[in-house]
Formats: sequence, C-alpha cells, structure tokens
Amino acid sequence: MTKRETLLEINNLRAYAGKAGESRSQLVNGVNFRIDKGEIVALVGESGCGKSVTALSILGLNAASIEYENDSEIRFHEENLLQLSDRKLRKLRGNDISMIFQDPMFSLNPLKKIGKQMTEALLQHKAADVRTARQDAEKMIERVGITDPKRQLDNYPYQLSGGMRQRVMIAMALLCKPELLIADEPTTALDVTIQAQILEIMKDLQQELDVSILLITHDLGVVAEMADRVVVMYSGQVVEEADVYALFEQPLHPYTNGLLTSVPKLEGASDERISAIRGTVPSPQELPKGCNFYERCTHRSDRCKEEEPVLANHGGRNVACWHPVVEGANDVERTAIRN
Amino acid sequence: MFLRFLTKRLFYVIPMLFITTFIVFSFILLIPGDPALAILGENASDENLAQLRAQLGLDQSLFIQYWNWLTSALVGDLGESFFTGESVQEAVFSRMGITFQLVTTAIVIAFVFGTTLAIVSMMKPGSWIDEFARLVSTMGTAIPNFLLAMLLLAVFSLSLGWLPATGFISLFEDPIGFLRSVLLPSIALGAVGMAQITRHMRSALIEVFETDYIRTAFSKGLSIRQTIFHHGIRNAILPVVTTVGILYGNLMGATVVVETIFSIPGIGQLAVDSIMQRDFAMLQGVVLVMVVIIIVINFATDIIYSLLDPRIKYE
Ligand SMILES: Nc1ncnc2c1ncn2[C@@H]1O[C@H](COP(=O)(O)OP(=O)(O)OP(=O)(O)O)[C@@H](O)[C@H]1O
Ligand code: SF4
Ligand SMILES: [Mg+2]
Repeated sequence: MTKRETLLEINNLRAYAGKAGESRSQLVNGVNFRIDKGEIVALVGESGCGKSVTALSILGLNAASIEYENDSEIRFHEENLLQLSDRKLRKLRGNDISMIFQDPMFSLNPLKKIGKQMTEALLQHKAADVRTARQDAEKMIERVGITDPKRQLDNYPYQLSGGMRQRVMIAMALLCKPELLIADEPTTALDVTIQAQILEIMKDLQQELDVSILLITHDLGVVAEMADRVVVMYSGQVVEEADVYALFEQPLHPYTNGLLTSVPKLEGASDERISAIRGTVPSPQELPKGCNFYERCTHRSDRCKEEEPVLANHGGRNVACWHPVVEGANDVERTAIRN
Repeated sequence: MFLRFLTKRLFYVIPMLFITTFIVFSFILLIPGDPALAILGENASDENLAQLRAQLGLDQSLFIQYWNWLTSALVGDLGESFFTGESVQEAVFSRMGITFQLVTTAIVIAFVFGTTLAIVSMMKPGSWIDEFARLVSTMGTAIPNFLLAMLLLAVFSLSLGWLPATGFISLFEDPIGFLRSVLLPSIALGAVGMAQITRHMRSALIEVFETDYIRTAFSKGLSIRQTIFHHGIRNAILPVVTTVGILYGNLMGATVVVETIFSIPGIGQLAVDSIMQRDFAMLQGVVLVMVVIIIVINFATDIIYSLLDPRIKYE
C-alpha cells in the first residue's frame, strides 16, 4: 500500500466537563490518531467512551462547558483546530470539514424547506448566488439517490422518511466538497435495509469525491464493510489502532478481542451493539490508577493494576496493553472472561 | 381546505356561544338588586315598578327572557339600555373599539419588547441586556397593573407632564394623539404580558438551542447570530404565539382597572357601569361581545400557528 498524506491528526486530546480547578470529569483521556487523505477511519467503542466528544472537538462543536487540555492538538492543514478563533473555525465548518449526525429525524430544522437548509452552507462559504446554489443542491440530492430533486427541495423534513432525511444530510454535508466528513453513527437510528443503502451511498460518494471519512459506529459489521482503518476507544482512551484486515484477523487488545468474539464473524454484518463483555466501564469521575479495562480483562496481571498502559508499537501495530493477545493463543483463553 | 377548517371551527363555536350566553344570562339575573328600582328610585310606587318590570320583560321566566333576547340578538338587535335607552349594540361596539385599540397596543408593546429582549439576551448571555431581560421577566409579573398604572400616571403625566393623564383619542382620528393617550395605559396593561413573553421566548430559545438541528446549523458554519435568526426565532416563537393568544383574553379582562385609572371609556368601564346600574341589557351585550372577541382571537392564534408551522394542516 502506498503511503498516504495525513489530513488530520489528533494528538493527546484531553477533554473535561467542567472548569479547571473545580471538580471535573475527564471525558477524553489522551486520544491520538490520524486520518489520511481519502481514507475511511472507523472510531468504535462502547456507549459513553467519548467517541462523540472526540468527533465534536474537531469542529469545536462540543458544549461550552467542555474544556480541553492546553497541549491537546488537532492538526489540520498546519493549524491546531483547538486553538482556532471562532471566526476561522466557522470558515472550516461545512466547508472543509462537515458532519452528519445520528438521528436524521431531529437533525434538520422542521420549519424550513429542505432546499433552504441545503443551500445554507454553499451560500455561506462559496460565493454562490441562490440559483446556482439551488442547482448544485439539486444535483447533489440526485446523486444520493433521491428522485424528483426539484420537488423534494421544496418539501419540509416531515414529508421525508428517516432514510431520505439522512440522504439529504449526506448531500448537504458534501455540497461544499469537504476534505473530511465526520459521520457520528449515521445509520444507528435507521432500519437495517436502509442502513445498507446509506452506507453504500457514503462509500460511493467517498470514492467519487475522494473525501476522508471519520465514521463513528457501534457496529462491527459496519466497520468491516466500510473502514480502511479502525481506532478502538475504551473509557476515553484509544486502546488499539489498526488496519481493518489486521484487526479482524488478530485483535491485540483484550477489549477488541472481546468485541470481536461477541459478534458472529467478519462476513455477517451485525447490527448488534457492543455490550457483550461482562462488567461495566469505570465512571469518568473515578478512573483507576492502572489500566481502565482491568476490572473486565481476561489477561490482566498485577502490573496492569498499578501502571497505566500507553498506546505503543507492538509488531508494527498500536495497542495500549501490557499483555496483548498474541497470535495462536488458544481460543478458550481468548473468549473466556474471568471475573 | 381552509374553508373546511373554517366550517369545522364554526361547528364548535356556535354551540359554545349559546351555552356561554345562557350561563351569563342566568348569572346576570342573579345579581342582587332590582333594575326597576334602580331606574325609578326608592320612592317609586309598587304599581310603577311592576309596570316597568313588565315593560323590560323582567316579570317573565328566565327561559322566556333568554329566548326573547336570543331571537332578537340573532337578527342583530341586542336591545336598548334599561337606563339610557341607547342602543346596546351601538354602545358596545363603540366602547369595544376603544378597548380593542388599547389592548392591541399593549399586546404589540409586550410582544415586540418581550421577544427582542429574549433574543438579545440569547445573543449576548451575561451582558447587561441579559440581566435586564431577567429583571423584566421577574419584576413584570410581580408588580400589580393598577400600581404600575398609578406610578406611570404620577411620574409621566402629573409630575413631568409629558403625556395626558386621562382620556382617549382614536387611532383613526389622530394617530399621534392616539399614541400619546394610549402609551401609559398600554404599558401598564402590557407589562405583565411583556414579562411573560420575555420569559417564554427566552426559555423557548434555550430549548431550541439544545436541539440537533441547531448543532447542524453550527456545523454548516453559521454564526450564532445567523443561527438565531435563521433557525432559532421562528421555532422559538411557535409556543409564544399561544401565550399571546391567551394574553389577549386576559388583558380584555384586566383592562377594567386601567381604563378606570386613566378614565378611558372602554368596554371595561361600560361593564362596571352596567353592573352598578343593573343595566342587564347592556351587560348581556358586553359579555356577548367579549366572548365573540375571545373566540375570534383563539381562531386567529390557530391560523397564525399553522402559518408558522408547516407540519400543521387545516384539518
Ligand atoms: N456536555 C457534556 N457535559 C458533561 N458530560 C458530557 C457532555 N457530553 C458528553 N458527556 C459525557 O462524556 C462521556 C462521553 O460521551 P460521548 O457522547 O462522547 O460518548 P459516545 O462514545 O459518543 O457514546 P454513544 O455511543 O452513546 O454516542 C459520557 O459519559 C457523557 O455522559
Ligand atoms: S493492560 Fe492489562 S488489564 Fe489492561 S487490557 Fe492489557 S492485559 Fe488487560
Ligand atoms: Mg455518540
């Protein structure tokens, strides 16, 4: 594989809820990963592990109550997005980086026509007049598989089904030809058959427009189908990062391993949410001293309790674990979960 | 489609009118005191009193009296004042016109200032305007309107002499005079409404700002200002429209006090006078018009709401 150019790089992202000095909880705990040009990176992990907070921090869309560590960095074209002024950030949003969200039922304004909402970003960022913006919008929603685009632009969101609305969201997000599309669980709220269609549209357009995608999902079936690379998060940290084939072939982190053994297999797309590992995630207020996964881990040792593992190279792959799962280890050990 | 909506609405309105007017009719007859006595005075002979009662129809049963009133009302005749003999509908309509101008001005002031305060305080949280909006929304409901009316009267008319203390000039005769005559009373009347509207609009905006579509708007690169104007206001105003509708009805009732303080010959004063004089014919007319106005306002509120919200169809 040829080495690709890096588009976005997240370095040591730490995010807290609440002001420094006061009692605050750490939501994101030193996240590092990069997204290359034209690549689909999947961000996976249990509910509440900090995927959305990570994604929203890229565009500065987290709640105002969320603060970042000073040395945290999100590099995009030589700039640290976390330090960017609101004005500069606004120029980026919807233009260079755009975003779609989980629930298409609520992510469009119910009182505005689809066309008006779609052209907003174009009018904001490209010196387009209303007519050409509308024509662009028409072309784009046709490309995401909506028939009769002229009429649909004059419809209100309530007149469209959930799947159609998500298509509109995708079209809207891609209208300004961004370099990066952040999709935060874009299919979770949809029927299984609609999910597949939406994913296919995303994949097609991704290739056509050569846009990078950060795809957040619970669903390993979706990961297998879409992603080039996978970043696995656990309680605010990246615990493993690997090429999609390598990861499904041989997960290194016991958590990833647990995830993979709890879903059927690579081929069978599953909409099951990740939850099959016994035990619960530690709360952000009281993280343990050592490894956050310790309580639930099948591979743990005393060292894990005392020392926090950091993301490090292990045979050409990144994993944060003192005792990575190794190739050829017997399956009983890999699946059995001790207390 | 709109016509169907209208007929359906009338279908509800007509029985409602019958019921309310009948209830009011019964209640009026329960008001202690004899109209004949009130008109002829303490020294009238029993014979004269009986004659007058018969003339006014008061010797008949409740149902017959109501029936007589209703049949004339249906052909547009609300009768004559027991007291002055003037036509009830003429008196009621001219007085209603005055009150309607007053209340509408109060509503406009309350709505314009209330929503503006809320919007500005949303754009600049923590600023002095934000604090002011907060103050208005708590103070406005805490000060009784008669007190505010007297305060305004004392300061701006009696001490400073900027505005007239009493009287009313119609908008259609002299717009400037109208504004001068109506400004203080409508502020006194509308203050509570302004407080309510500020509070509702503020909380509606905050609620709207927590929705996903606002996050979408920000993700497109819109500024706070653009987001408020293009995605916030219309959505937040929807619940406020209902508040304004209810407010209209409330102010129609509250206007009595303000009209009395500022000597404005509106419907409120007419109502009070009719009760004092046991002028039942006039009182019944006043109540009928009030009920009709409130029904019309509810109706208008629904229409405005459906114009603002495309999801609502006339059905
Ligand atoms: N504005 C906020 N203030 C305080 N805590 C927050 C805020 N936003 C998120 N959190 C907390 O941060 C943690 C991570 O949340 P996040 O939304 O990133 O999870 P997630 O991985 O996206 O989960 P899901 O799969 O359910 O979407 C959660 O515990 C959440 O409750
Ligand atoms: S560091 Fe230890 S406890 Fe943590 S995942 Fe690895 S083996 Fe398990
Ligand atoms: Mg999330």
